[in-house]
Amino acid sequence: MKRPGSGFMPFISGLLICGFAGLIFLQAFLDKSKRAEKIWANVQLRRLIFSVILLTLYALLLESLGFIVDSFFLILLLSRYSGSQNWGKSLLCAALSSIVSYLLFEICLKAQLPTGLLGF
Amino acid sequence: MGLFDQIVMGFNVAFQPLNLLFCFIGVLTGTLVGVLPGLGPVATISLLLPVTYQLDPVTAIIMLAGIYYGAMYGGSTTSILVNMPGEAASVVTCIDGYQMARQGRAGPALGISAFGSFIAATISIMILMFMAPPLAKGALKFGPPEYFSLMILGLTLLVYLSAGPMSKALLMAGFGLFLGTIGVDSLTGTIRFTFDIPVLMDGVGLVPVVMGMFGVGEVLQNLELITKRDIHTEKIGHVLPTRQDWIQSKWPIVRGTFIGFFLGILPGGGAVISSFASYAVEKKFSKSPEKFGTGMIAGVAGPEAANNSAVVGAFIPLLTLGIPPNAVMAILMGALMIHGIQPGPMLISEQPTLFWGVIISMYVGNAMLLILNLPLIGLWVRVLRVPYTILFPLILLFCLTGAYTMNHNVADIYIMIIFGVVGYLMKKYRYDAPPLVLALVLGRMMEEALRRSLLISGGSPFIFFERPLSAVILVVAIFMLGSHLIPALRKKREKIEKIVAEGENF
Repeated sequence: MKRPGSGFMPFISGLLICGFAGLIFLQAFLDKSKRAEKIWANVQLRRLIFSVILLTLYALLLESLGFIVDSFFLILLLSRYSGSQNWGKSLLCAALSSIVSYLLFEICLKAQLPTGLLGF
Repeated sequence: MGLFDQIVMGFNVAFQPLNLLFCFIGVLTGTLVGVLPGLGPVATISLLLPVTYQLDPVTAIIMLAGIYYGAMYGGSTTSILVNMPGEAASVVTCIDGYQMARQGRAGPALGISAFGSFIAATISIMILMFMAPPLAKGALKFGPPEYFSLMILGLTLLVYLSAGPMSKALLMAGFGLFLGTIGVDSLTGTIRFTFDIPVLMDGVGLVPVVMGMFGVGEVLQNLELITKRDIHTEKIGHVLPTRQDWIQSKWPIVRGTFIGFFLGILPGGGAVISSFASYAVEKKFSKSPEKFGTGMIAGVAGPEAANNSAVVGAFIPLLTLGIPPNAVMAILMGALMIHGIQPGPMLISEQPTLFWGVIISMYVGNAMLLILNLPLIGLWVRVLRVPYTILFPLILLFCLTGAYTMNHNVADIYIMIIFGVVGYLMKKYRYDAPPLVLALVLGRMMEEALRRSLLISGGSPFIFFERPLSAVILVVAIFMLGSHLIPALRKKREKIEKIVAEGENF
């Protein structure tokens, strides 16, 4: 306590986390209602996992593909599969939004996005 | 310089054409993101932050602040018309606002929330003008122990008022504090918990965490079930509230203003909590509390006034103490520091044009919103008509771009995605996100204050109780936590919890 070092705060927060995690575990253990099972009813897990994988791929490919191309595919696949739009609409959305957001961020806001394949 | 001269100076700054323009852009963008669910002021402000680097600091803060209070106006529109809060601070507005819309009284509901917000902003800006300068002088006497106690009080308040069970909220606060310790220790330079990942050296960024939890997390939750929303647009009609409406909402607006302002000042208070608090208070004051939830105008006027005035109140800890009371203010603080301005007790005397200019611009911005918002409701409704299946990829794209452009680092996107999933799971299992975010915002400052205090006292933890101000603050915090254990008070809290839960189910 006299000379609190670097490990002091992590120690305190660690204590807090352990303490309350234990408490919540006990509460869950004693709780006989089946709330936890209800939470996952009606959830379309496939759609969720697909979307998260897409987002991760977006991050992986952003610097090599460039903002426009990468965003185009992200929006296309998201609205086709996660949003269940038809191909035509999804294509239109993807083309429009990737170009408009490029103009908005790069030209208006000067955000310096990765260029990648297209070279601009 | 007297108060009057300072106000005149503020007007001069706020009415410079460039500042007026950026104030306008700010409030308009704010209203738009307030209308859009899943895209909040935090994400927008961090998206636009890089743009402001080239601007004058006053202009930059004027615009960013405009986004924040503009979002409060926009959020209420969606709550009333589609029963879908565009903003967390408008969740309670749904309860009675949507019922009013179903009864064909959408117009007055929208009207009273705009007028109520404006009146609240007017009063709270005046309080801010009178309170901030003396508070800043008082704050000069604050040492590390006082800072630490104040931050503890803020966290306690947020935990106390959080939606889920208290043990889960406390766990989240602990987790947030832990996240705050990642990176280089500011006192000794030791590197902690980075596992040799370069991006973690600077700590876990607030922006990716917040955008992940609130932006991505919310989209994921909405993806579960994409449903058609019913929009009540036929009968917006006249937006001017009747005399009867005014009589019923006069006092709720005044009470909401004060509740919002004082909860806004406390770190951890803020717009969301003050709107819930105001709703609970109105229910208590009302002669017919059983009618709440069936379209009472007081249940719209009070919370809407409260969330707007909380935004104004939230500037006080930032401008006088240098403590950001919520995530938005933390980003604004970052914006100030990028321009070389240190928020704290000296800010008002060292940067008078910034302080007074921003305050007066908030007033100007609120007036703009009042004039703009009512005629533009039709436009916002059209934005809402865009199906969510088209909207959500765009929201995700904005979040991704925002996370990237902060530091031009892909690693921030990964952090955002991880916290998106975490945030989604937290929502599922009813872990409240705000305590985590505030703990992350305050974590570094709290740690420094705590360790400095202990160095001053030579290791005695009683230093926090030996200094009178710090002792009072801590006693209040302890009382709040302790009150949870007293059965009578606990029941009251569960009641509020119930109201909150009902609000969320709507």
